[in-house]
Amino acid sequence: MRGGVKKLSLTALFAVLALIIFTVEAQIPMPFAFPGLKLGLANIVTLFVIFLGGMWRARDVFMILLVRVLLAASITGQVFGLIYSFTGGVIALVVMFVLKTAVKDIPIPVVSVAGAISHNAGQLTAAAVILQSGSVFVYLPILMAGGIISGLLTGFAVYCVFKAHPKFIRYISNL
Amino acid sequence: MNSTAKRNFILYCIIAALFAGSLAVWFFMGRVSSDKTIAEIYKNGTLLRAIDLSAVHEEYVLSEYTAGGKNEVLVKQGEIGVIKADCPDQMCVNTGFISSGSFIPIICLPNRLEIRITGVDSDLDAIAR
Repeated sequence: MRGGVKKLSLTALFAVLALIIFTVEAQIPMPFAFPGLKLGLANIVTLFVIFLGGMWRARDVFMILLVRVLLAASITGQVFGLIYSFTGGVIALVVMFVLKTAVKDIPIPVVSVAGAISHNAGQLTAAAVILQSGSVFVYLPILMAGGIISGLLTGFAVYCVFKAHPKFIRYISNL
Repeated sequence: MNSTAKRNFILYCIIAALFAGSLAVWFFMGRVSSDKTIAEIYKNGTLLRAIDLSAVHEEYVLSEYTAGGKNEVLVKQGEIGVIKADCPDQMCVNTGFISSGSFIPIICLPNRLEIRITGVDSDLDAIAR
């Protein structure tokens, strides 16, 4: 496999980068104490790798997500949170990947927003199943509004990275 | 404007509409209120107790034990809230107290506990049966 080691190392680096972003974000106090409402900055890494294309497939993004979620749970000690962060993450990943593949030249922020909304919807569904009660869905509107804002922000961040370093992007996408 | 730019513009418009719509729904939900204040405590999706908060004169603490752990619920006149929980995320404690007109439930996911306010008297016996 050509570039196997380089790609493997980069995958690990991406996972660590996502973990660092996740940990730093957890330290930022949020003015609104709604469960599940957060910036979701770690999605920058997921989104970036989805849009890398070339050698990078859905499988690689899934591995990055899995490593990030598992390590984050072991660091914060919130093992229970794994269930919903993982459910939300996987659903968002699938939605974003399908959108990116199906719609040609779709803007990155649009994909990001779709991912953020589906992430929140997935988390709420997981919570509803665990609680055996649908009342958690009262949070859907506020989580959707929050997801749209954070989705636009993270999407724009990824767009800037692609715009700023085209040569580097071309190099790592075809490792 | 070429077709891709037009399509992208429409996509962003849909996002803006969704944002406005979800905010509108959120603020609309906040306006629903009722005259009676019944707090319902659910464990694993089944109704455990229904407390008429307007009839509480002296505040008291309820300890709810679940398979996941323990939550201490403070019941006050017109208000109810979780003051202590042994879960790591403390989401239920951070929600604070809910009262008449609160449409947000207090949720403890690890302990599968839920407290919500309803305006209607629920028949606990009928549900328990």
